[in-house]
Amino acid sequence: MTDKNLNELSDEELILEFQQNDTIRAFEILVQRYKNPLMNFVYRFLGNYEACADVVQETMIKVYRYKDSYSSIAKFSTWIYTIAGNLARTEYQRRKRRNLFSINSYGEEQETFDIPDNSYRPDVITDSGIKEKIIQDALLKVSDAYRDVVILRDIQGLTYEEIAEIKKLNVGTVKSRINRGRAQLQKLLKDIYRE
Amino acid sequence: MTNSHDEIKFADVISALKSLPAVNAPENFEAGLMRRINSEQHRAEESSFKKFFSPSRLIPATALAVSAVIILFVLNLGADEAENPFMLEPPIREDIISSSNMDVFQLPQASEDRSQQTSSPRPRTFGDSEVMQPRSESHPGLASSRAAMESGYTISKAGLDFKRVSLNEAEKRELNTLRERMRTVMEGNTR
Repeated sequence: MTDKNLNELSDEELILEFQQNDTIRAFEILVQRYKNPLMNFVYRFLGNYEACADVVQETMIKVYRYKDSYSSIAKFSTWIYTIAGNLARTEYQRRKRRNLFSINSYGEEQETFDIPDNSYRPDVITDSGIKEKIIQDALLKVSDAYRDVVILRDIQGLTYEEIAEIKKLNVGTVKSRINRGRAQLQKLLKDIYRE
Repeated sequence: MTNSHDEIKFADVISALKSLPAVNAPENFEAGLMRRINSEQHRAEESSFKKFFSPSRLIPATALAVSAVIILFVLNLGADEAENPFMLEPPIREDIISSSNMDVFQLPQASEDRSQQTSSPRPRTFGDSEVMQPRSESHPGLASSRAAMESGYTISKAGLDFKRVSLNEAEKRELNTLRERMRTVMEGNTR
């Protein structure tokens, strides 16, 4: 199959081609299609660009290695978002534990602190970046259970049904979580709205 | 309707989130990814070879094999020396033969013996003294034991640790048959 033909295939057809014929080009096209949406999703969830790039690469490696575990009854996008979401959550918990440990090892009391993340971020340069930073920081303060669904809905633009499939929840629960997350975010961002 | 209502309620939050710039993958994302995939494949192939032949696996496996051989060798040595308990001679309890108070063997006459067997109310058991009584004085072994008993030696049953067996009727009949056969053999030998 030529490169042009592969580009015309849907995600599901590409992964099928990769499963059946081990066509690396089909995998590369899937990587091209999903690397930026996944970077956006994982970055907004983690708030760290380097960690985010690692998580997305790990997601692609899992797709490559466990391609046969994909079943054609599900949409490819929901499958890859599920993998990325799980890896992002694991990385977030790992980073949180590491930060807590490093602070507690210096403090005399079992007190925790918010640590500013000074690693590279694409949004710290411009003036508008200040507002973006505030939104991102507020987003990171939203509960884990609500944050990912809010990102998937309001940043990634996925439907409630797709989010329900990714999170393996029913649509009602997804809607409820999204609204709770939005409410938390609204409270955190009230100063921005006043301006 | 509810969805649109919620989205109106949180319109400011939704617009703030939508205003966030899209974050793109780094330039060398694909190259880094393929490098990682290739290195993982190489590592997987290498590890499958190392899995079986690495010292960390070989040393315990060798130790296990050697210890298994040693254990088998030791068990095998023991098996040669072990005696079959069914082939062992019963131990002679000379220490409990005494001339004191317990059952004294009064060697009865052969004719009296039969009448006692029928008239005795006491139940007969395998270990009973009657079974042990000699039938003929002419047998050299029996003669010597009779002489020993007549001279006052007694055999105490108290210290003997043999098993007392209660026989049922069929077993008693079989025992009597064997006893009769034994008696005829012994009488045949004396003649």
